[in-house]
Amino acid sequence: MALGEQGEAEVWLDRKLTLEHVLDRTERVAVRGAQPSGSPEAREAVRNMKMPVSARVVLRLSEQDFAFDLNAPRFLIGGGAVPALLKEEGDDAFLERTSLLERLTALLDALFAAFLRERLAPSWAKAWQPALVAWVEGENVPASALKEIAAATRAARRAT
Amino acid sequence: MGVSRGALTFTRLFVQGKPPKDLRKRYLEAVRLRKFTPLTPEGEESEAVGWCVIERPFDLDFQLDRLFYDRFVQLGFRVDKWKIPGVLLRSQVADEEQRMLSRGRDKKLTRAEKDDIKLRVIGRLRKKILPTSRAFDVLWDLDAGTVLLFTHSARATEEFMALFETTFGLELQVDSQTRAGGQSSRRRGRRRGNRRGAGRADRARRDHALFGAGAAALDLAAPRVVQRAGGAR
Repeated sequence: MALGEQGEAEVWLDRKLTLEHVLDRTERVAVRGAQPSGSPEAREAVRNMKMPVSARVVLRLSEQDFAFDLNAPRFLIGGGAVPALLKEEGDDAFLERTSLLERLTALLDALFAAFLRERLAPSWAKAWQPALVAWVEGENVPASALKEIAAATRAARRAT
Repeated sequence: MGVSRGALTFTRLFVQGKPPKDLRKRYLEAVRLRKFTPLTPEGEESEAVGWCVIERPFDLDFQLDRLFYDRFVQLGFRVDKWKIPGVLLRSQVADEEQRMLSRGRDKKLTRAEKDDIKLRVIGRLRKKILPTSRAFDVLWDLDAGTVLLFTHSARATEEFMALFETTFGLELQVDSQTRAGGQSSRRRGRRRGNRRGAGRADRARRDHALFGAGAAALDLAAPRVVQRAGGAR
């Protein structure tokens, strides 16, 4: 995924995903496992109008992993993990950690900006929407939608 | 969990306005003025909040080198509360009420008498227990204008914002999708030299307001999608 100034990153949802009903917030489904977004429980939850409200997000940039639990309604980062420090302790270690912290928040902003770019682009209705509907229905993603998504991804790469 | 070790759990806040140029001395004085004041059993407050040295909740001796580091202002936000176990309080109040009834001629105590007993019992118990203490790391990046408060507690964040504003005279805004969306859109708008981006951010804000953050994040709340998903069932 192209994340603007942050570069190219591999992004995936890891270990946990929580979905909440759009009307009744007390109706919740928590999915845990290696690939929570691919589980039948997650699909069924979405079919029942439960939307993702929190997830463990992992971003891999040039072999460095950043991970955090994203609380979507409050836009909060929890349980954030940054790459191991090179300096062991002292002032340098503090500055290194704060710079990684800054990177972590910048990545969240870049990820959200990338989402908005896709969401607000004209290709959303032609590409992502049919793909999501197909996923919800348990069907194959239409070839035309995949083609549109690939074109949009290439365009995003070129733009950065 | 905090600035220097452990998993990173924090709330990001944005400082509205710019700090003054001669901030070091001024801020040191301001922080000293609002440093944490411990609770006393005799006091009426059930909670106290104030500044402490970062990662040292019981250290209230502020010096320039402890407050400022590189481009950061680093602080501890300490919250102390009296937490008397409910069972203990109820049983002590009941004992006291029983004693009062056995001494007097009345068969029942008035509301005012009951309140008075409760206050006395609370005062007595406060001398026997210690208040609970919590301290959260605070990291203010003066260049970026962001403050990281290392907790997700909504109540602590609210109290922190009030103390920050009183101490430094600057308002804070909590991070949100609306802010991030607006920022991203402004950046795009500037790049394109038009207002189209801002209009799109408004649309995203509207989607978020209508369907909630979860829906905005995957946009599965678009009526067409919901209808189809429901129709298949």
